[in-house]
Amino acid sequence: MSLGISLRQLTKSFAPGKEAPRAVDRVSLDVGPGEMIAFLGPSGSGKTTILRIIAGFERPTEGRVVIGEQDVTDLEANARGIGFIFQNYALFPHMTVYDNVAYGLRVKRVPAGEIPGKVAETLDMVGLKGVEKRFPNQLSGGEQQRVALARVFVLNPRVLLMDEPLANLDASLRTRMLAEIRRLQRHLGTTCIYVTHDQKEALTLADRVAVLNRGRLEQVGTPLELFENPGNLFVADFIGQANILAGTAETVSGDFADVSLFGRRLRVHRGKIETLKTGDAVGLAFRPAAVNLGDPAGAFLVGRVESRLFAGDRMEYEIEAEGKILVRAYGALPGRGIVFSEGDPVGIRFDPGEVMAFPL
Amino acid sequence: MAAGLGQTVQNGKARLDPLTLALLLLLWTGLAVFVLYPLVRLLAAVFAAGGTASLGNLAKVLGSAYTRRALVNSLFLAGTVAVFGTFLGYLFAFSVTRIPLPRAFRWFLRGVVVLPFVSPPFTSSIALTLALGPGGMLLKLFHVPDLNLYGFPGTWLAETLTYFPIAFLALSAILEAMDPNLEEAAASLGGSRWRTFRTVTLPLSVPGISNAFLLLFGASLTDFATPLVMAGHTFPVLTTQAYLQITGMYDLKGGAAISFVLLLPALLVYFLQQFWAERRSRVTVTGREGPRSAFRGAGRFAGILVLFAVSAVTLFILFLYSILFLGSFVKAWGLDHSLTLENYAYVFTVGRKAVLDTVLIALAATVLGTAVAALTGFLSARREVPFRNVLGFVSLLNYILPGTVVGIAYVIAFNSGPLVLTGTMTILVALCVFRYDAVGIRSTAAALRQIDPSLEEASLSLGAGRGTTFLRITLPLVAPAVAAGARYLFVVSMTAISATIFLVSVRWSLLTVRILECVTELLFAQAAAFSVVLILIVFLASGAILLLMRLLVPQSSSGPGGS
Repeated sequence: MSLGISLRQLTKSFAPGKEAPRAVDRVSLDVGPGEMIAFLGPSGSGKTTILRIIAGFERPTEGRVVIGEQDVTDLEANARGIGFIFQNYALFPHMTVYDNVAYGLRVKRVPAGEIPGKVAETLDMVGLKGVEKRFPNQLSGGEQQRVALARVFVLNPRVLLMDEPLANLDASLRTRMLAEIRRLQRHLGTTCIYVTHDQKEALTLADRVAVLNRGRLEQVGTPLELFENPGNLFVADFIGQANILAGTAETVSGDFADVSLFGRRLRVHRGKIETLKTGDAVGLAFRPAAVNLGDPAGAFLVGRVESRLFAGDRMEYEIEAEGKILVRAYGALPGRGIVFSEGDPVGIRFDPGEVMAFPL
Repeated sequence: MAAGLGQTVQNGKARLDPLTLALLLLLWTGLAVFVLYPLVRLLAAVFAAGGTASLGNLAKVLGSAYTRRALVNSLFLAGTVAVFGTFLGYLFAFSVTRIPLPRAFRWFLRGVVVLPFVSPPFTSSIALTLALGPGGMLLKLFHVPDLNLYGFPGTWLAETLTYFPIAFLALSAILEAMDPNLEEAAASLGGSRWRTFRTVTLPLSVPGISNAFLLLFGASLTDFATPLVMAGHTFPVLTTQAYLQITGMYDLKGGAAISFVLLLPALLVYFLQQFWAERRSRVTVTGREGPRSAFRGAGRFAGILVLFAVSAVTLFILFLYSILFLGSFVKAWGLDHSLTLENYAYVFTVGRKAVLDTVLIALAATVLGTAVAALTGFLSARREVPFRNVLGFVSLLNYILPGTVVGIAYVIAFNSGPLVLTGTMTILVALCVFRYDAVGIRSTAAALRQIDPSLEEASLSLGAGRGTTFLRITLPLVAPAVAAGARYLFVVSMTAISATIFLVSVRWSLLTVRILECVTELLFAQAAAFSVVLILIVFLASGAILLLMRLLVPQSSSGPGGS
């Protein structure tokens, strides 16, 4: 049976009493039973610290952690019934694969007769066979990862916490393990929090993604919500790519605002800015896919192609305009549309409807 | 880490459980009695005259031309031993790491080189005397009347042969850790082999060379056994002068003052070495293990030259050991070479008590010292232990100080005053425990640092409590380091002399002291037999400790490491 997790105003400061930045700053979040949620953020965003607080390895400075109906904030790590997958797997180097997986069962005083069956069943489930007698340093990275999973799954944890579990694997193996982890988690219905700094991992794996930055929870939502409707400039930039330009609000009327940008005027939806006044700085974000490159004559901005990259299904351009800024844009493949060369003058156009405005 | 400490304070509960506290108190009591107290008494003896603080004793000692000569001799000897020992160590290290040699030959070289580590301190002196001393084997072979071995040349040669393995170990570690790509890069940029060596390999070994030089300098400066046998009256050094001042003239204060003169350069060398060792670890040794190509090595001519030198030295060492071995089976070396077992009969009759005493003392010191070392290692690795850095330093203090200084401090402290222990087994065991536990402390602390905290966290999250985690995860991972400390303790307790010689008595004698007596009475064959027995005991015991380790902790060979 899996349980939900509830974080209430979780705060962690490593230098209490001082005006130091908090590693975790008043984070509240509910994770549903059986849900797979990803904590996504750059390094130092506090995502691992939150995970370690939930596991009981760290004490929060303030706030509570509730699992199911039980407040576990003051409980020792070994009394929480949580499975934790470490970035380096933390397999016990002096024990065989079998002993590693059996460790938790023995600690729990499961009758000795039941242990071999459970271990074999779990190793089978994670796709490992015939390695019981080996030691961790005799296994490949992917096999070590599977042992780490088996060691946790054999205990039927109520909650599974994973701290960048794929960071040490090479790219092709990572894709395979990602699917494997998703399959196992769905199959067992375990509530799971998955920490990563890789947005592709987060977006493909998770039911919902929590974006963290500098200890704060920036936004929680399904991958699609975050992509289509980012709550702020940080999320817009971090999830998918975005071009971000700074402008100034000129006139505000109804849901729309006229923003001045490089001396030109652009009418955009007010979006996330509830209290926009004339003269406010506005950050405008738009995806590379929203940019149309073409004839310089009559374009919104005129630039020069700084670099061109063949990206398989499209061309990717970096355009220099106004002497400094770089706009990222996509273009057609040779033979299927206009292709620009490096140094070519080029006109930049975009649909104002695709532009998202945020406070700066 | 300050964060952990702050956290403890903030949570408002002292994390020191009663057991830890009790162990900590016990340990500090031991350190106070057997480390700090003797040192204070020594300093008091040096700096107090007639109840007031005074530099009189020191001035008197330094006023003597004989002591001044001993100081200059000590420094000169240490300097020359360090220069040649480091050079020799570099040649060996270069051969093992840079010249393509058959595997077996490499192992052979390494094996021969570590022989002096497990040998009693007089081994090379006795063997050299048998070979090159008056009536020595090599002299007869080449019809040389006399070489005047005693004095500087013999002391220098014996110490260089005894201590160059230290340089070899330090330098081969450095040469091995060096990224071969650096040398390849130099070669691909057009540098010749010699130029590559001169501009890349050698400059990168400089921190290691400095480190090796200082280690050798310290070892030679504080060596007591070799000069006692080899230096004679013509070449006095500080360690032997301090000893003779006390045993010959019954001048405890004078001996203490001389040992203090020795203490200053020894400490200076130690701290310099620590400084270099730290820099070295920052500069060259990275933890990254990428795919490595083989080292390019030396050119043919240079390689042959180096190999020739290394083989010559290796053969000479083997020759010395075989002389020692053969010498123990003949009636009188140089005079009557008929084979006999009399010398061994002598060891097991006249020397029986010394053999048994030494083994008993070494065993007691090993058991107690291993416990103290493990305890100190664990306590000084725990963040919540107050003054843990002070604890670490004080527990290594007797090891840092020259043996002569520690021995004299013990004599002064335990001859009179509240705690009279001279002549007992306790004082010999205590000296070994609190002096030679250093290696165990360091290796235990290092092993603990190497254990990734995630291993203990993993055990916790799998449902194990802190006690179970300690017993089943931490302890087995640290066990090899503790065992290494135990082996070292046993070996040096068996072979020590520089400090223990001040503490032996009629009731408790030591093998090394018996060897010395044999040498001074010119009973070289008996001395050789004692040495062979000692070497055998050391080998057997260290093998037994290894075996015991394997049985108790299977897979102890795999060692700690997180990923």
